[in-house]
Amino acid sequence: MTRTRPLFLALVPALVGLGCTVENDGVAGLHTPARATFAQVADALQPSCGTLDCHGQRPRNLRLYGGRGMRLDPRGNSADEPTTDAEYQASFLSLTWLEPEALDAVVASGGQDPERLSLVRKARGSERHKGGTQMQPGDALDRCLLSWLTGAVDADACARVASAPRPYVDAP
Amino acid sequence: MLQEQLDALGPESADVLPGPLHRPGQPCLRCHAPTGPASPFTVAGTVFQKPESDLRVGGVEVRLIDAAHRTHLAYTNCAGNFFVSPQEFEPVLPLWVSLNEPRQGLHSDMESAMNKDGDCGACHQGKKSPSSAGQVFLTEDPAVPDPAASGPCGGSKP
Repeated sequence: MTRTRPLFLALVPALVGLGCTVENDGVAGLHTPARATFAQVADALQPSCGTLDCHGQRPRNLRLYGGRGMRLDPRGNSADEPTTDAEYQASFLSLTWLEPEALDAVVASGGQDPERLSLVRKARGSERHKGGTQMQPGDALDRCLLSWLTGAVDADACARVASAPRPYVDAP
Repeated sequence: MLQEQLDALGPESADVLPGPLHRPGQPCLRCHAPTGPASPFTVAGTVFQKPESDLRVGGVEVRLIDAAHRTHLAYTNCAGNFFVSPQEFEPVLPLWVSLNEPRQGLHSDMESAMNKDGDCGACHQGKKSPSSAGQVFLTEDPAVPDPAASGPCGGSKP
């Protein structure tokens, strides 16, 4: 599986462009969280993980596309249009192919022991992460991501993170 | 890799000496980093008048708010550049940024936070593209006239 992954990811834009839907379930018989609710999760990940200076970059193993991050369409830009469905799909595939076997195990167990995933360990800061700690157990981003792994996404938590206001600070 | 990135920035402009006014719009922290060849900055960038304009604006208040809810104010010089040293402010990331231009009464909030470092030009490279939000600008309103002067050169509060 590992050997075919670069080719597969290279084909993602073409497959998306052709309207194909490819998920781990269809390719390797592995469990993935639901694609149908991923947009809410992706929107929650965008402000803290998917910016251009973090996972909104092609050299990253985890590539997140978005309206204010890396764009899939070469004619797009990071300032104007909202995230497209093709971008949600590309981000979904990138995320679910990071550690497909571990993800399969977590999803199959109903989200038990989510720190089997480096995605969760890094975001929580329990594994070295250049971007530092982006979520704490039980906070809104954590609830959003982990609820998606269990199959019942916490839409309120996701929306709360996706629309987080800038911090209020008194004038100096 | 670092040397390749530095080489990609090209040579200094012939009519601007290395210093506070040089290399506007470029990713400052590529050199001005603890491991780089120039004095380190924690936050630095360049402010343009409009998204597609070459006009850079001095005297802009750059309001930085970090994850510890601390505020630091910096001001652009007449090249549109601003920079913050570690002695002045070492932000806890993520970092939020707002711009205020008092002479024109313009205000702009950055829509997302800076998560990796304070290098504005790393993401705001030139024109908009699939990997760039375009240059940092004050206003998109074409009806707003350009300022008559570029503002003070000192990079201090006007």
